[in-house]
Amino acid sequence: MNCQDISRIANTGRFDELSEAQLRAVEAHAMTCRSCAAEWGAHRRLAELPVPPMPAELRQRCQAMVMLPPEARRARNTRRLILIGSFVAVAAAAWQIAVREPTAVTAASALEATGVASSVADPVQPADVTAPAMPRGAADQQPKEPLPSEEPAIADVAVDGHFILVSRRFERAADAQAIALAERCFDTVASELQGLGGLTVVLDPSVSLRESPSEELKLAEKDQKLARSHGAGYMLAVSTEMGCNFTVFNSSTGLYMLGLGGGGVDQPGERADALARSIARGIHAHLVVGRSAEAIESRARVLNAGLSDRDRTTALLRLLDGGRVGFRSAAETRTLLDEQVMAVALQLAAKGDAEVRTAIWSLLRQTDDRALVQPLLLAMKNDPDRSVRYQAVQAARKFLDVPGVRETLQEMAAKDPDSEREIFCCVQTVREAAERAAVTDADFLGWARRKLLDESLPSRSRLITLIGMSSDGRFVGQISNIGPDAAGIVFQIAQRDPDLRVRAMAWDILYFGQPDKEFVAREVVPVALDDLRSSPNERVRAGAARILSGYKDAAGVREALERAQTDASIIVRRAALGEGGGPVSAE
Amino acid sequence: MQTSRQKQFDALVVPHLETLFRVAYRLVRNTADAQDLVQDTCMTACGSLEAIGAADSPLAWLLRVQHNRFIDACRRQGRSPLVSSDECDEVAQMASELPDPEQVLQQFQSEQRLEQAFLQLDGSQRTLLALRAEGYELPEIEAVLGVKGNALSARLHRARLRLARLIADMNCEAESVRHLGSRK
Repeated sequence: MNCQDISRIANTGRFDELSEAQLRAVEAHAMTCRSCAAEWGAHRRLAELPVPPMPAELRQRCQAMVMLPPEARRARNTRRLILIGSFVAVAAAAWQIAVREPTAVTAASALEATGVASSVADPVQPADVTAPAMPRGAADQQPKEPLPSEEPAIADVAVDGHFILVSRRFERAADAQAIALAERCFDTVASELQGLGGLTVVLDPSVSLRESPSEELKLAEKDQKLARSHGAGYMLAVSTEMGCNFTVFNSSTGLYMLGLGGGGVDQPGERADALARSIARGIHAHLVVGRSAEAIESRARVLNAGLSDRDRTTALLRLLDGGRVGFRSAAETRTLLDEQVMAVALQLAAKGDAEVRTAIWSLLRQTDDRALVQPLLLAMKNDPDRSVRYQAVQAARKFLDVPGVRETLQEMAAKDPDSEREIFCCVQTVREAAERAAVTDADFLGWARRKLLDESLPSRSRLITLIGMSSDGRFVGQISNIGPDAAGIVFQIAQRDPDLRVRAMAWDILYFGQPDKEFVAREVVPVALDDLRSSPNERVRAGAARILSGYKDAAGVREALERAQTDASIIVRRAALGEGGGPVSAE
Repeated sequence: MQTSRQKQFDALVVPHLETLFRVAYRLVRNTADAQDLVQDTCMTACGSLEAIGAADSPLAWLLRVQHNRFIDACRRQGRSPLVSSDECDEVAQMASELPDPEQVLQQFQSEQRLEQAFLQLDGSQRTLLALRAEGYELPEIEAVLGVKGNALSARLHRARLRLARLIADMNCEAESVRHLGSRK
């Protein structure tokens, strides 16, 4: 399989017609090639994006059109009326949630994992069922048992990879139909998981409501804490975003699991049920059936010296990350990365091509085996490829206590040739990555504050550590964590710097950093209002809209947000509608 | 009693409404706008039933009209710059500027981000990718867009890379997911 093959398949083949072997070959190649990863990822995921059934009334509307004289055909639909109707539904749904009794819990008995797959469950793919929508509210509550009242302390319980917590995270603004749909998805995915066996399934009885995307952090932490308190290795969140949405997290790391989850069905019905069931089967395939079989097969390929470097690298990726079956826990990874596998990995890191070397160091970021240190130092100092050095720097962070590692990182932070890149989203250059990697966890917040206060640095460098993205999983979080004056300094930087990208970054930081509300209302809101009304930069307007969405009672804010809903820029419209996502300032 | 125009419409257009809606939905990613687009297309079709009847493929004719209506709507709203990506020199650099393959694949996992990035593509790129996502083969897309052979393949390739680039640039969802729970 080569790049031309991938392009040809993406241009001419149908994803759903590929054989399992073809699919694996394509994905194996894509794992080691940027261009093909992009091409294939776009092709596959676009094809998988769900499309709802055509509304029945559309046919009637179109047929009616032919009856009209030409000048009368431009009758538009009546979306505004529908919106008014939905406000009533929202109120009803909010009430329903507020008074709802605690719901679920059913604990299926945990079975021993068999270790080797005897059959492979369906991959996670939304089924393309176009059945008519079910009536609203069809998914209403069934009697469910309460959660055990005594929760063990987190530290006392080892998490179990065959144990999953299923929770609900709804947007407060979701309408009744969206909530009914998500409830239905929640019930369906839970009962399917229980029916498949081999998993202990605990249903969180509470429903988390969130006002804004930034609250997702708190909800995720709550779920993680709850999952770990019950010893659940995984958590599945069912949300109302994009219709009904499923996200699976590893409760040890908090990271979401590649290849699982997904969703986006916006009408109740068999299609939603089919999606929920396929999600459940995918999770089951990962947690129960697939992981051991995948590991055995991948390990054999890693150790097979007859395969190419790229094939062995792909196999190593599958072995350590779980490949198609998703994310492996740190404990699993340590077990799988035994001496033989490590020896192959280091061999590939030394002699593979640049993409192989990059992939290997990226994979080895997960480990803290000191056998890595010398090869890492060599790669950091001598590798000609910036991507390899970047990944090596990230991997080196675990060895700051080993003599020579911190010094090498500091030297790279000052001298690495990869220093010129004006990208506003995250750590991008090797110098920046090295500087960050040399900072211990204990000093991270102090370092972020020192950067913010350092007036000799460009504004971007002062702000970059505060933005809600991270190359290494470390975040400042609430901006007050680095000092009560930090929000004010960010705001000053934004006002002084003529670069609008800096201003957009500042709005993101103030939005995600949740600064003191009084300060925002007094100082920030008037400036954000001006920006929303008149900034020529869409990211500035979007950032301002998101800040303002939490202050709708302030003078002029509600009207400005309503006007912004017709902005020419989609990111501004979405921000004005309160639709979330990550930072808008990324360029 | 149906008029002859109604009969023509029912025979030539109605069988394709579902397809038109699916493609329209893929273009605009919401039901209301998709319905508007299909309705606009039908409005044009009502005045051209003879032309549709004479066309080799009524569906290709309708999809082409729908594409044109969509481009018109993009222009009106000013949301898609419609700068032809075909002449864009940056495309060759796109792949090399992307993150690691693993990260690229991972980024596509976020549906919301994928949609946001898709909606930032220009109208023609959206149509190309939407038709491919619906499973149309290159000759069928040629018939809709009037772009031939290698040029069409190249445009598809560029459109996918452009989408990946947009996602990488936004670089928001995957990182914000890490943001959500990465404090160990």
